[in-house]
Amino acid sequence: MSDMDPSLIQDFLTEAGELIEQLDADLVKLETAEGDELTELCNSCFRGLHTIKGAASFLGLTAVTTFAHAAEDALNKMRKGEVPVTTEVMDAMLRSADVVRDQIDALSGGGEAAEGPADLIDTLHRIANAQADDDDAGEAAAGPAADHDAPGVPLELPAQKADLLEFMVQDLRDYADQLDEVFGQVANDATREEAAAQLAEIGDNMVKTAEFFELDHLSRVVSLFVTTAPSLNDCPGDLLPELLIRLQAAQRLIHDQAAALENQRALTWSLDTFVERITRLSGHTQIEEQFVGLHDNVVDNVLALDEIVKDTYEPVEAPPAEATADQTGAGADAPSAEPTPAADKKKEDAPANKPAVEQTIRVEVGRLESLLNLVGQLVLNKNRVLGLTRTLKDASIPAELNEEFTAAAGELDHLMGELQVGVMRTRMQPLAKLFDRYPRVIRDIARQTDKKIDLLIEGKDTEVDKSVLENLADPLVHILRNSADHGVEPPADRLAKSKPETGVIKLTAEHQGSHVRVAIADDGKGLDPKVIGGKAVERGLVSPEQLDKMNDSDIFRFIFEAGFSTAKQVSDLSGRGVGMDVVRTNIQKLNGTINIDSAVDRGTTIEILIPLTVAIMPAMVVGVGRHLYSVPLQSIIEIVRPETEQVHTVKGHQVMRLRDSVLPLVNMQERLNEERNDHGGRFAVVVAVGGQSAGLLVDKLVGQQEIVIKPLDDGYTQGGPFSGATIQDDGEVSLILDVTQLVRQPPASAGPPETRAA
Amino acid sequence: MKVLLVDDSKTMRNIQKGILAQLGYSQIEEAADGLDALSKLGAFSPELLLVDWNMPNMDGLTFVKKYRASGGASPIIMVTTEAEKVRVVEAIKAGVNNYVVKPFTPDVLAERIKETLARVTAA
Repeated sequence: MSDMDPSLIQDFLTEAGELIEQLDADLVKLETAEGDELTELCNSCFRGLHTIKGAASFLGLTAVTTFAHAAEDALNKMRKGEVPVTTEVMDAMLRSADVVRDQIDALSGGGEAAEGPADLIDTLHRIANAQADDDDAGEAAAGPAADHDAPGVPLELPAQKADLLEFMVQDLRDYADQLDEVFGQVANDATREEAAAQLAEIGDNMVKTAEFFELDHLSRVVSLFVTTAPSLNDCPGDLLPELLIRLQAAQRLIHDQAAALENQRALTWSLDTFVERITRLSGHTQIEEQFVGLHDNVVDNVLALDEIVKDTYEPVEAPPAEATADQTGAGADAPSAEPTPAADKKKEDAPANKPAVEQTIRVEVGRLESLLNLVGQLVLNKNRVLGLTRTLKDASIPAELNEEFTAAAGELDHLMGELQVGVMRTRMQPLAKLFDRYPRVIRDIARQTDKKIDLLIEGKDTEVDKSVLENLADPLVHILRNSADHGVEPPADRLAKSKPETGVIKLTAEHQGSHVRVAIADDGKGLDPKVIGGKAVERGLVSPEQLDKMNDSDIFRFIFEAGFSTAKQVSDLSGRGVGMDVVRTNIQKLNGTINIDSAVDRGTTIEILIPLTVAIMPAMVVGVGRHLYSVPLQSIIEIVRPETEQVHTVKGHQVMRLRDSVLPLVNMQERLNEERNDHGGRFAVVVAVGGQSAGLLVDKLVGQQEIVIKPLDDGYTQGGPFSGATIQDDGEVSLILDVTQLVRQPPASAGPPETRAA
Repeated sequence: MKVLLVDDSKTMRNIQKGILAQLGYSQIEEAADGLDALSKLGAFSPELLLVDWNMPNMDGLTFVKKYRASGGASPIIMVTTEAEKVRVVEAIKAGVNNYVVKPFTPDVLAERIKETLARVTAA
């Protein structure tokens, strides 16, 4: 199974590493432990090794499995107290832990696990075979198989069945518990029929379960429920007590077996008399007269009367189950004499024992900051090295040395990029961190102002860099307060305007192209450009003539001026004209833009767009001409292959019919000034932004990738349709296409119709 | 030995068929889901059934219940994924005799089949 899912192996290695650590610590403690603590530590070590062995064998890691098995056998002896905890034994155990650790380390490093050292394996075998040589019960019986004082015989189950044993124990107990109620109903004439049906069903389920786990004796016992159930309905009154107490005896046997199963042991009983008597009763015949009523309604008495249990109990030396049928089996008090928990219950025990696996760790922000700083300095240094490689090329040094140096520098560059991404990634946080505070803010304002306001939040999972998050915190609170305090009207006013009494403020966040868009929309009274314009003139921010030429959205921007407020009354909450100034300053710090859209009595929407200086997003990498470009996946609706007959030219623009609509096409070879070739326009990547869509004709599709957006100076792109750049896996730069620009700007010229469908 | 393979994936059936052929079983009938399997039971009485859990139309568990309810007594090996393993107990109560977790190697399946048949013969 070498072609196992690598993530499974990875999980195993991680878990095994933790288990080994635990094992190591436990073993050290074990050396000096005594009594119960010793037992518990032994058990813990055993479980750890057992889990490793189990998983390793599933993954086909033979070397690990074999060695862990040997160590486990030795440990098992220790656990049972059959081998004293001597320095020699402990040396061997600790060395074993080291060997397994080395094996795990080797596997983690992509290598192969070495076989365990032969001398150590010999020592382990010697420990395992000390005193008794009969501990050979096999995988299923691993663990307390040789518990000679526990009742029953060791269970010999294939591993996959033994694996489910714990479920079965639970199941058996649940059923046995249900039987209490069923028996009660059987005793009652009114409910007997229904109870009988239930008994048959429970019996049937248990028979199947017992069969699956190859417990023949149990199967024989639970079959009695199935065979007896139909006879209950018209059971003569004098027989019922005899039958019922025997059914209860059967229930006891189930409980006993469940307890024994926890120690991987199967109970055997001598059932012949018991079965015969129940069968007779089911046939509505009374049992032998001298036994009637002798049970005194005590289950234990039935077990003795029907010869299920004999007085003396002799341990059984694991013979085949059939042979023991006549021998003595479980006592009425079946639970094991030894408190050793079952070894195979790894699912339950192992996780409980090892420390909880940490999915996240908390790191001081300061450490992340200094890490980021170091990365920044490293980048500068890397640039110097890269610069040096170019200088070296001109110098008269051997070409080979030069080449090697260049290769090393290239590798450094590549790794630096990854390091940078890795560190940046640790700084990404969901906007929920901010957004989750706001419902409280809005509720408080609503209470203070006697308004009714609902805050709807969308997209709080959107991740942004920590610095963005911090700089957004204040502006968003200010805008929200403004919306709640000035925007949303008091209930009476709203009703007068035939608006719903409750105002709605909607806070949304989403990644939009290379930006994060955060919008706050209220359905309040809106901004009045006349009022704002008037105030601006009054404050001398603008002349009346200038104002005339301004459009509404520019006029709205005056609200960001320091000290600008149109509120007639300054409240505790807002209106002093400070807040919006903070908004503008903070957003500018992030190179963001703010747009205000408002209509009187319809409400105001404030939209903040912040570039994702460090954002990671999924993109489709496409090839055009000789280069690769990235298209943000969120803009892509679908990808189609345009057929020649689907493409038309309308008014000089290329379009194609896509189902029932006409889709404008953008010839990317032309648009990006790439080399023309015959593969042009093989695929049309259909993108959409704000209701407009277009098909980008590209040469090839490379695949979907997580890309890291690096901002580009406008100077470099010469106004091209790019929103940034990203580094491909091979270190090549690929430009990120600005879908917004491509969709809005119609192709410059139609060019020759590109209808060469592949 | 007549074997019924119930699995919606043709690939899986082919793999199983190959393994069965290696083991010397040649009378193999295939069904693509539980319903299909039920319809084939009239003409073909399998002596061993390999049943996938997750199938369209009728899943393996339902099929096993119906098969057992109709008196079918041949051993059933349930083919499950690791994720379904905890649910195997349900299948056990419905009457499966053994199970094998995907992905399995030919050896594992062969072992399970031998195991299951040995148990049935012994009983």
